[in-house]
Parts: sequence; C-alpha cells; structure tokens
Amino acid sequence: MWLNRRRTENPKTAMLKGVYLDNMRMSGKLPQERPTLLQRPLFRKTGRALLIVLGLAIVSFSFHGWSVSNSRVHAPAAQPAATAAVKGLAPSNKAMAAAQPQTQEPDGASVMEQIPIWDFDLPGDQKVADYNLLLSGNDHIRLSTLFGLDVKTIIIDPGHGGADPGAIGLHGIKEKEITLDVAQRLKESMQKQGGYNILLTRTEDRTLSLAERVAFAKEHKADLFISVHVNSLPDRAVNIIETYYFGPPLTSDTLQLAEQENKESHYTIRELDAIVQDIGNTVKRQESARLAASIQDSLFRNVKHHDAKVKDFGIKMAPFVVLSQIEVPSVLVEISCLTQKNEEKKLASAEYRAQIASYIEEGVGNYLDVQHFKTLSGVKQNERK
Amino acid sequence: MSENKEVLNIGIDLGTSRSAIAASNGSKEWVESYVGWPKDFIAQKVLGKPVLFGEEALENRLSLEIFRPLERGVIKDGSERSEAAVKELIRHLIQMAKADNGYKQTRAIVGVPAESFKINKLAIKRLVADFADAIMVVSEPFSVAYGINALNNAMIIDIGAGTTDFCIMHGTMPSEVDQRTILAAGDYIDQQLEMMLHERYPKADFTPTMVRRMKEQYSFVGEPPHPVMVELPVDGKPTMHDITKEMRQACESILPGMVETTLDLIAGFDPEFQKKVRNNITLAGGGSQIRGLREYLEGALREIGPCRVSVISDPLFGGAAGALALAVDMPDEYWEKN
Ligand SMILES: Nc1ncnc2c1ncn2[C@@H]1O[C@H](COP(=O)(O)OP(=O)(O)O)[C@@H](O)[C@H]1O
Ligand SMILES: [Zn+2]
Repeated sequence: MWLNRRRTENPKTAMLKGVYLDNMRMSGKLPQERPTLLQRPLFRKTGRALLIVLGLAIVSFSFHGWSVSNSRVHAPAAQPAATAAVKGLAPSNKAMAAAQPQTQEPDGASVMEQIPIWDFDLPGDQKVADYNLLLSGNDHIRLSTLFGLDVKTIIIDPGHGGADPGAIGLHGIKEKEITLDVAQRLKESMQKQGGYNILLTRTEDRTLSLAERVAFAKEHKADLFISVHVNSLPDRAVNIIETYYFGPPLTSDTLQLAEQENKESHYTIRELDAIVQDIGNTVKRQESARLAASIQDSLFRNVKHHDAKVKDFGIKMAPFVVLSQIEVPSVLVEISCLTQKNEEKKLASAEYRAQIASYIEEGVGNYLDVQHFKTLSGVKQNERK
Repeated sequence: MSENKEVLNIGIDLGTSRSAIAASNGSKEWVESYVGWPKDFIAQKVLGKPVLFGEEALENRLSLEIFRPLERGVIKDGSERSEAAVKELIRHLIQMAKADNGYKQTRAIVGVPAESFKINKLAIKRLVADFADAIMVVSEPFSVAYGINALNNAMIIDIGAGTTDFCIMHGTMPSEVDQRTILAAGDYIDQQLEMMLHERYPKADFTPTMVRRMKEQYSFVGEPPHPVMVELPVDGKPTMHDITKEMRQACESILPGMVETTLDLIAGFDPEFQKKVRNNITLAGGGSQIRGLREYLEGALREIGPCRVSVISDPLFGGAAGALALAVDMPDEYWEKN
C-alpha cells in the first residue's frame, strides 16, 4: 500500500515535525534559524515598491505645484523646496525661508550624520518595536521632508483629570496632578522657544473623555499630539520609561498601486492623488514612531542620570483610542512609574517635574530639528551642485 | 487514533479576549480572558474567592483588580502580574476541563496570538509547566488551520479581539512571509462603535463592555438585515436607540485593511497557487461571526478572479480543537525529546 501513498502527500507529518523543531529552537535546544530583514524577499519587494510610489508621489506633487488651476494644496510650506531639491531645481526664496529652522541653527551638513533618518526598508513593517532601528541613520531622504509636514500646532494632552485620577501612588500622589503639571511646564518652556502654537487639552483638574481630547486636537488642527501619562506597575521593582504610538491598521494600498505601476499601467490624476493621500498616512505613522523614538530616547537618556536602574521599555505600537483617532503624528509617553516609592517622592518635587518636562522638550525638539535640518540640507546640497 | 488511557492530551487557545480548552477526555470549555484579584481583604471575604474569571470578574470589577493579560499593546506591564494572570487562566481552564487529576501524563499544546507573543512563548511554556508534563507552543491561526485540515493551498483569516491574523498554508510550517497581522479586529470595531455612539447619543450611558456585547449580538456588514435597536439608559431611564448605521460603519471599518492584506499576501505567490488559495479561504475567530462578512469578502476579492470564502463551523473552539489535534497527532518521540 505504501506505493500509492507517498509520504509527501501528507503534510501533517511535516507540520508536526515543524512544531517540534520550533519548540526545540525556542528552548535553545537547536540553533535559531532567523533570516535577516534583507534576506527576506518580501522586504525587498516592499522597499522597491515604496521607492516606486515615492517617485510617483514626487511626480504628482510637481504636477500640483505647477498646475495653475489646481488650488488644492497637499502640503504647505516646505514642500516646494523639497520637491525642487529632488528635482534638481533651485528653490524659491519663500521656500527657503519656510525651511529655516526656528531654533538656533548648527551646521546642517555635520549634524546630518547623526540625525535619525527613516529607512525605506522599514515602512510597512508593523514590527518596528525597536527604536534603535529608527535611530540608526542612513542617507535616505525622509518622506516627511518631501511632503513638507510642517509643524505649527503642538497639542499636549495631560492624561486623566477630574473624576479620573489615573494611577495613585502610595503616598496619594495622583497621576492626573503630575501629568497636568508636567504638561504645563512643557508648554511654557516650548512657548519660550517661539515658533510654535502650543495648546493643552486641559489646563485644570477636569474630566475629559478620550473623544473630547480627540475632538480638541481636530478642532485646533494639531500637527503633533503628545499625551503625557505616568505608569502604574505595582509589581515592578524598577522604574520604567516607555512611549507608545498608534498606527491604524496597516494598509498595503500603496504597494498594491506601485505594483501595478510596475506593469506600466497609466494613472489618472485621481489615482495619483489617492497614492499621495495614502503615503500621507504612512508618513503619519512613521512620524509618530519617530517622534516616539525621539522623546523616549531623550527621556530615558536623561533620567538615567538620576536613576541608574531605570529601564528603557522603548517605543511600542498600541491601540490607544486617543492616538488612533488623531490623524497627525501622535504619541503617548509614560514618563515614570508612580508605583515606585522613590519615583513618587521625586515626582513630588517641582524641580524633578521641570526636568522631566525639559527632557520631553528635548525629544520633541530633536524630532523637529531633524525635519528642519533635513529640509535645509536638501536645499544646501542642491546649492552646492 | 486509539487513546492511551494514561495520557491526557489537551489543546489550549490563549486568546486576547477568550481562552478555550479542548481535551482528549472529551471536555470543551472556554472563559473570557479576564482575571481579577480582590482589591483587598474585605473584597476577598465578600466575593469568597481568591481569584475570579471572565464574566464573573467583569461583574465584580469594582472590587477587583482586573487583568486582561494577553491584550496586545495595552499590556501595560509585561510583568509578573500579567504572567500570574495567564497562569491563573490556564489553571482555571484545566480545572474546568477536569484535566487536573487521574492521569499519568498530561501533554499540552498551547496556541498563542501570532504577533504579540513572539518573544514570550518561553514564558508561556514555563507557566504551563505546573499543569502538564510536556508542553509545546504554537502560533494561532496555524493551530486553527491544522484543526480544519487546511494544510495546503489554503488561507486562514483569524479575526480575534486585538488582532486579525492572516496565514497562508502551503504544505509546510508557515514562515514569516506567509503570515500577516493587522490591528483591525474586534477591539478596533468596539472602539469605533463606542466613539460613534458617544457622538450620536451623548446622553446615553454605556460601558465598553456593553458596546462589545451589542456588537456580538448585532454585528453585520453590508445591507442591514433589520434595524438594530438597543436599550440604553438616558438619565437612568432605559431608552431605545437606533444604532443600525453606527453598527454597520464600525464593523465595516475593518474591511479595507482585511481586503488589502489578503490581496497583498496572495500576490506574493505564483499565479497557479494564487488561484487555489483564493478558492480556499477560511474565516476564523470571534469576528468571523459578523453577518455578511463572508459574502462581502467574496465580492471584494472577486475582482482578481473567482474565489470561495467559508466560515469555520465552531469559531470559539477552532484554536483549541486544532491544538488538541496537534497534541494527539504529535509522535511520542517528539514529546519525549522536547
Ligand atoms: N457574533 C460576533 N460578531 C462580531 N464579533 C464577535 C462576535 N462574537 C465574538 N466577537 C468578537 O470576536 C473577538 C474575539 O474573538 P476570539 O477569536 O475569541 O479572539 P481572541 O483569540 O483574540 O481572544 C472579540 O472582539 C469579540 O467581541
Ligand atoms: Zn495614564
């Protein structure tokens, strides 16, 4: 009977063996078998497809930029400069001005080397949980620069409030008090820098639903949204810092369309628009991740000076409603752990809260700087030619 | 397959919202993945139990510290407490299935959510170790696929609470490129629905749990089978509300992501295989019960050619039954060496 039942006909055997080997590997009884990102064919495909989409997007922007009758503006301010830079055309004075950083200006070119830059191979990957990936720079141009996501309004959202105290420490300090105080300090000191419109979702101890926070951000046309929270982890022996960002479920629309273009199909303008629109969403997600990474990096690095044992939990994607509904880069930062006795004591001091605020500010500042320098450097490189 | 009386095989599906067990003694049980510990001594006295689960935990939420330990992203602590909650959940499932005594050897296969537990499978193994003599951990939708014998030329779309997991089966263990996870799933629908209802009926009073239950009762996509009316308190008075439009919109919010991911995943394979897979798509998980979903997907995918989508017959136990099948089929030598 064995002749008419080839063993390969029953995939069950292979599956069972697979499960067994997987589990052996898991327990370290077999060597790991893990292809690197680049070895995986799908990733190569993704990267290539994105480049194609990017190319298309630039063409589309150029189209919109030059078309006299088209009054719909996809991207304000820095966009013409970036487009021009890519296309090898001299940017207008206005565009140059828009690209100037508002803060003091180090030498763009030398700063460039350390600045985190988004890598094209990563978009589309949901598993970017390690912000080192984001921070390891290369010379690719960031999408946000090309698209001129120009930040004007930053909304800071102090977590909880009113009837909702949030976490409560052993000595009775409430999360809602800390978040409000830190948010207010952050706002004050960022306002001193000038150039941005900084708003708080609440300025007093009042109850605010998530929907109301979202509505506030929408109403005031937020460009960045930063929600401040304090962790509560009764069972953790150490302080931890973590920052969350939200990506709406990933779509592969852009890839799909790019694949089609690869087959030399012709697009209508509406279709081009759709691609750009969709890239916009990708950018938002990427930018949220980058903003999260930048805040997390600064907060952790600085807090480590106070507390050598603090744990870096990195950045994570999470389905927080407040982040999910806001269509601009948005993050939720857990600045500390209220359930740590020591942390509660420290958080009780105004000085420490001011420091925390300054660390977040540094993170946001770095994030914004990269965007500005990058735009600027694109222009400069262009001038050199 | 004849069963060795001294060995009990069990399959466990640890889900973000529900967990289930199926055992070779014939029992099948499930519980909502909520674990609650009394907040203090008084609460414990009142409740008369050291730990509560599922529905019962939710009902007593005010006097409990509640954990939904497998929830993706919102596991605020990947900590001892979450692990303890997972362990209690497993203990509870095993007790419900009467799988805790009289057997010389217990073997367990545990299915865990595809994405979130990549690094924590070892922890799961450790947690189950007190209840079973041999344990293997597998990823969900794979166990579902095994259970319904969709091992080749097939695709499983497992719509759970925290995530929707896609898995293509082509006769071997699915690798990373055969799988995809998106966050458009049950919780996402709940969030959308809650927001929309707050917007439309600002005076109505309801909790996230109520929203989820409404969804589970009335979910649909496409044309409404009938108006969806629910009773919600306004200023304490029960009042009827029409939520047809909101229900539809919320349920449909997961469709674009699902269709695109399906197309994208299929597109990675050669045309001949694509055709076969298209005709063998199975919806699993709690979300597969959304009315009209199967028809909608068939319609949406037809663009690329004829296709057939079916819904698993027992969504609640798909994962657990598959894990049990794996445990039963697993050769002794593999168990021994593991
Ligand atoms: N009839 C239904 N219609 C729509 N969604 C449902 C229905 N029944 C259950 N669900 C949803 O399915 C999800 C749970 O599915 P399940 O497969 O048990 O997920 P998990 O494995 O993540 O726990 C929950 O979001 C639940 O609300
Ligand atoms: Zn909080």
